[in-house]
Amino acid sequence: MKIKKASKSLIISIAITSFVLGLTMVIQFKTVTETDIAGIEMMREAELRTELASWKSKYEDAKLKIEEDDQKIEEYSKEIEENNNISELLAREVNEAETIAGYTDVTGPGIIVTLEDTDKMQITAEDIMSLINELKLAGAEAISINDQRIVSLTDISNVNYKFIMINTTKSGGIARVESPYVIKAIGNQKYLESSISIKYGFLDSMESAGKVASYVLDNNITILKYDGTLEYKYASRIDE
Amino acid sequence: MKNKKIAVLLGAMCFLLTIGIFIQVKTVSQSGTQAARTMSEKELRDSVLEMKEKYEKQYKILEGKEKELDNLIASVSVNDSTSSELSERLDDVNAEIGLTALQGEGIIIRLEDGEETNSISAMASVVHDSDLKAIVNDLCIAGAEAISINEQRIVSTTAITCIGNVIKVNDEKIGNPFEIRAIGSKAFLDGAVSMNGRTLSQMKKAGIKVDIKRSDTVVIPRFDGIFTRDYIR
Repeated sequence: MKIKKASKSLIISIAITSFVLGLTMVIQFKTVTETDIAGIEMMREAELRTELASWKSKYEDAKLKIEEDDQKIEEYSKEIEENNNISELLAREVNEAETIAGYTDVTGPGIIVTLEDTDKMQITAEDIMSLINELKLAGAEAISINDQRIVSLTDISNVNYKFIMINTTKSGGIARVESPYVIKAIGNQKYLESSISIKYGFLDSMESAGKVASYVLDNNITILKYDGTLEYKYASRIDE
Repeated sequence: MKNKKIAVLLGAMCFLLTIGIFIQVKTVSQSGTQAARTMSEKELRDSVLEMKEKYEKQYKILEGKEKELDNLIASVSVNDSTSSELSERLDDVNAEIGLTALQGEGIIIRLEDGEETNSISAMASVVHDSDLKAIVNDLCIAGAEAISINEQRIVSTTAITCIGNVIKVNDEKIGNPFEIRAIGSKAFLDGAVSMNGRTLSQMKKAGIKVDIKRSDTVVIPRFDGIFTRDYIR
């Protein structure tokens, strides 16, 4: 009887142990799945943060532009009230629009990227287009390829393995460029640099394709104006 | 002997129990941060929406100011030849950089993701950012005078990107179906993009629904963003 009692308590204690162990395992499993979800949550959080930063900078831009417009309205009103000529103010306005359009030389801080053909690998129009897209995403305010200014509807195409054509459809601005391709961009240097040197980004993709690309940062880049003109044959303004 | 056995057993049990409690404590503290994280994510989501709304309100104000300025300029320039010349030039350049809505003959391309279920061909039968970039360039080569994708005007600072499975143009999310509009010679634009071997024909082969329409009245909206001049002088 004494032995039976002992084995009874043994069985009970083993049962309890198994129960505790089982419970522990369940908890452990739950913990593991929760950490997985946390990982995804983290990713979403990073995305949300970029989104927030992007809206915030747009908001700041709008605020600044409103201040600028307020000042202009005041200036115009004053000139009109005093019956003065507003042509000076208008000329400034035209110059601002032309700067955005690319009709003026501009200087500023930025990045200079050089792409070069080698005996084995040629730089293609697609390489240059993808670089330019990255630079635009990083907020470049002016870009040129071998001193050919990128404007709103610049076309880039391969002619053969030696040349790339830029701005072919704009009168006067037709250009044939060849290696080495020097791409200049003015903007926030930190953003421009990280946009192309990020892991698996443009520079990594060039390197893995065996192509030669390098860059330097420069605080005083000059980008020449676009010297073609754009004439509308088909489009007309819709006045609101 | 038996007492010894029971003592060992009890010792082992205590050990296991301690481990169990230890793990439990860890789990609890983890789920605590989990809750905190979801909270902060919800807050983050809210503040993204809040900031977006704030921007949109600000942009509305900006639009009003621009209109006011335009009206002011229009009210005086009529009786002064230098000014009216300058104001005309301003209108032209603004149209060129995308700050005016345009209308004219051209084409409208409609793209719709295919309904492939096989995972490999499904990847090929959805529209990618690279497709849109290539089509825009094809249209530029064919002499397009203005281009938009889903109401987003293509301007000199336009980037077309893809984050996760979302395509962004001018930093704005756009989704399936895609509508690309272009003003220019409709025959020339149509011919250039539908040429065999170009992007559109490859997309068609991959199972994407492609529809090209020629039109005499293609309307392209103005760029509703802001050109910054923070770095250029």
